[in-house]
Amino acid sequence: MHSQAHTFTIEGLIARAVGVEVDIRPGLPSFAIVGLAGTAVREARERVQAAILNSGFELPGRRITANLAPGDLPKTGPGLDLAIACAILAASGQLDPDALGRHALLGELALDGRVRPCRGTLAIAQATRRGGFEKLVLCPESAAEASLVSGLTVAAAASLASAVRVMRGGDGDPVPPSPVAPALASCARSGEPDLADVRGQAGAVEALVIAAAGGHNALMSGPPGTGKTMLAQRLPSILPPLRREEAIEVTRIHSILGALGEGRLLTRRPFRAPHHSITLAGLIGGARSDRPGEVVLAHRGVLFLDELAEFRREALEALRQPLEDGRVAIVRANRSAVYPTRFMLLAATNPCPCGQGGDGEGCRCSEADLARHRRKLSGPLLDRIDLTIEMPREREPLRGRAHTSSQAARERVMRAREVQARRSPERMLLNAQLDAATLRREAMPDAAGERLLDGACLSGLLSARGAHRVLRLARTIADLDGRRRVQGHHVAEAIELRAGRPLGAEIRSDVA
Amino acid sequence: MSPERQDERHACSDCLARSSLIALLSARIEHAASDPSRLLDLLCLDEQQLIAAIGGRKRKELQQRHEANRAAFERAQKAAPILPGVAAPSAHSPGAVAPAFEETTFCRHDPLHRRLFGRLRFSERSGAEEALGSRRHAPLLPAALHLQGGFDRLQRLLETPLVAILGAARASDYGMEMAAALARGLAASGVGVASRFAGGVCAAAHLGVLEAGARPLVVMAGGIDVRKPASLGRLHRRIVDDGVAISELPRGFAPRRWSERASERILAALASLVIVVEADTDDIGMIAADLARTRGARVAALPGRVTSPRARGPHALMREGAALVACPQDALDLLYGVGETDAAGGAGMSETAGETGRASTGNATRGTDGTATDLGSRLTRQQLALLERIGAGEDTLAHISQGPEREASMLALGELRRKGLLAHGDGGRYLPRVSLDRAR
Repeated sequence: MHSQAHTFTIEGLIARAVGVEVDIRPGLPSFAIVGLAGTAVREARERVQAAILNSGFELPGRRITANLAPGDLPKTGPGLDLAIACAILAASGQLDPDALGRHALLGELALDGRVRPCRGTLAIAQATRRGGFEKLVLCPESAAEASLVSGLTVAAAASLASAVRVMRGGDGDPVPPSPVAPALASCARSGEPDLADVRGQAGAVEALVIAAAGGHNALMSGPPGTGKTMLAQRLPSILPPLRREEAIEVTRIHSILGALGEGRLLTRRPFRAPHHSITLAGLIGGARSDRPGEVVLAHRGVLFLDELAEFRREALEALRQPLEDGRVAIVRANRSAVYPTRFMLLAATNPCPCGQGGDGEGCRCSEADLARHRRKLSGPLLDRIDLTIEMPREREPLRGRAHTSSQAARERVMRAREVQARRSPERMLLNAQLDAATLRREAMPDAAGERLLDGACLSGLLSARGAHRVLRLARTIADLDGRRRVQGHHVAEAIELRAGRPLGAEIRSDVA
Repeated sequence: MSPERQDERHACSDCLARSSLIALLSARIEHAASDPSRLLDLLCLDEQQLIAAIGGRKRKELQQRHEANRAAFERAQKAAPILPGVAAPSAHSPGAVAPAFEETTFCRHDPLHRRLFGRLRFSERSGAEEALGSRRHAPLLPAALHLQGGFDRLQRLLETPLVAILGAARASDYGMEMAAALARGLAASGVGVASRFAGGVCAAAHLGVLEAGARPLVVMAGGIDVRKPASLGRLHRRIVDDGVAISELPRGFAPRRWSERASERILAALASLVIVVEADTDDIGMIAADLARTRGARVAALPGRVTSPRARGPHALMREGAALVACPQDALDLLYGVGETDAAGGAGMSETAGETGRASTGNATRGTDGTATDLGSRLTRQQLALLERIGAGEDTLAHISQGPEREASMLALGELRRKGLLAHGDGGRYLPRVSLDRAR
């Protein structure tokens, strides 16, 4: 007897269809799984046998062969258990093979026959809909996540027995109420850090709002204790929530990587803050051959690199392509993958290795230390950073006033982003992503602004690329200002933000 | 260091041997002079005393090497006797750009050495006591000097008074600009400018001199072919091409902390005026200022912000009576006396771009900052108001972008920046490059 069940395995960020074929024929009792099965899949043998018996079904005492097709696709993870078990039941006449063929199955089996959730549900649900299956059968915990895909019928099955009941035409198990409705309700941001906690540093707060509004990459620089990390933690609170299509994209990535909390749609933008000991593979991707890195998890959100100068140089250099192209291609010996990486980079650094700042009292760094520090941060990476937020020591840190609340700042950011969305309704580009042609059309400054820009270019303050970045920044400032035309003072502010010195007053010992 | 080198024959073997010995002992001197006050005492010792004092267990070996060196220098001299002080046949015609590295050496028996340090007595090797007793007035000077750039250039430099411009290697934009402007103005007035081979203020001073088309006098702390710090490689090449470099250490010896400090005694002896631009109290220039004062040369300082650690040195000097120098004219006044500056070249500020003719009209309209900024057209009311606010402490972008009249202020900021009237300080603070009076 022969039967086929349908399920999926995850390769990179893509769900690939896998056909599970089971053949049962006379012979010594045995159970073999073939077809590039990973360790977790080979162990499915024991789980499937126990689950079938413990669910009250019969396991034929004959020679069973399960083949996972296509044979050249590596299959990983325990999500194939349910499909293997159902295919055995169909092949042994306990389930209608035609009904089995109309369903897609996903789930890990417990020894007592329960179905457990597994990673990548959303991606698999999307693939199921594309594959034209009648229903996707999976555990109740994942059902909410899968039903985010419109046009797909999802049936929850808490156990192998329930799955068989569903395929015989019965009802699915009840789905536990989802923690939040999948609709994009405005997030209740209770208990979250708020910008109102930040005293003083008005300039830095304002610069952060500008960065958030246009999606600009920013670098904060200042001695320890001036609030760099505090400010960074409050960036998510002023970012607009994810739009639905963005949310699905992000949820899918996080679901595959197992970084999803409760199997619901993410509405907050991801905020990733890897420690500076992170490796190149951890940051970009490629660990265990194709696992996406932090830059992918930060897609549509924020990648925060605290103590930028402490990161490995190779890791920082590798950030260039993801920053520039919004995607990263990872090629390894046996596979390659392209991952989306449209994130906003926020970095923080001390102005010098000892942290006390260029001229600060008690800075003990030698010239060579400073030069090393500068070298580490100089060059291509800094060139991709649109604005520098300098955070000096406040003169009266305890008496400072809060500049703004997160609520007010977020409203400004969202207004500015609406203006940007109207500018390119089809691609929803942020100002930071505008190409040169659009920039010329939308961000040409008035005469005063042009004069300032020319002056900055002539004096060597800005390169041609730098001038474009200043224009993008000026566009954002004008958007926040509610102006259609970029004016001189917008350009002036953009030049100052762009031309900041992240490493203190320039000490040009290499002047010659 | 091979003693047979052709170009070392302008010096007597004793002095060359002493120079080599000091180089050999460099690491030991570094250790012994970890307390800076002992350095000059050490350098006052004669060769035997030096070996005895810091030779340690290798005394015998050092003594032998020293004797061998002296013998080798003697042999070389006998083979081709050239009187000390007579210039070697130069491989290149004077005025041409030196094609490669060209070192000449002269010792204290050379007339040029006397001319360099004419007012000072070189303490003879008659024992440490005399040397120590007299060192307040005559810091022990190097026995042999290694020179790059040729005698001609050096002699021409010595025809004018020399001004040493010194300061921290970690200088601010302000300090570097002021140093460059001072050096440019003085060099254009025909005054020689000397400094150490170091980053920051010193490098800025050399560049200022080069900009004015003059030759900087550079005192190197190591061998004159040693580019250290390496970041100054390009400056080193320009100095080799267009300037004059001297050092007391033979070629190939890397500078150490002691030799950096020791090089300041040469500057203190050479200069008629020592100007400290930006320095902490133990920074570059403070030793030279101290020594120059004890030998009776003028010491001046350029004021800075009282809150900045880099202004501590100059301000301490001024408290002790150093003159305040804010522009090249001030330095010329100190050298020649007030009112005689026009005769001495009439330069000063007028050498800086776009200001020709302004300085000669005297104090009434002279800028107090000495930078090469171009005021161009008159500043608007907004720009003046902004300069005033920056001067009053509202000096960060946050102050300006969130203060009153935001848009007009930002525009004014942009314009000031475009005109080069603002520099970027620490922590995002702006520093005006022009005094408010002058801007008006």
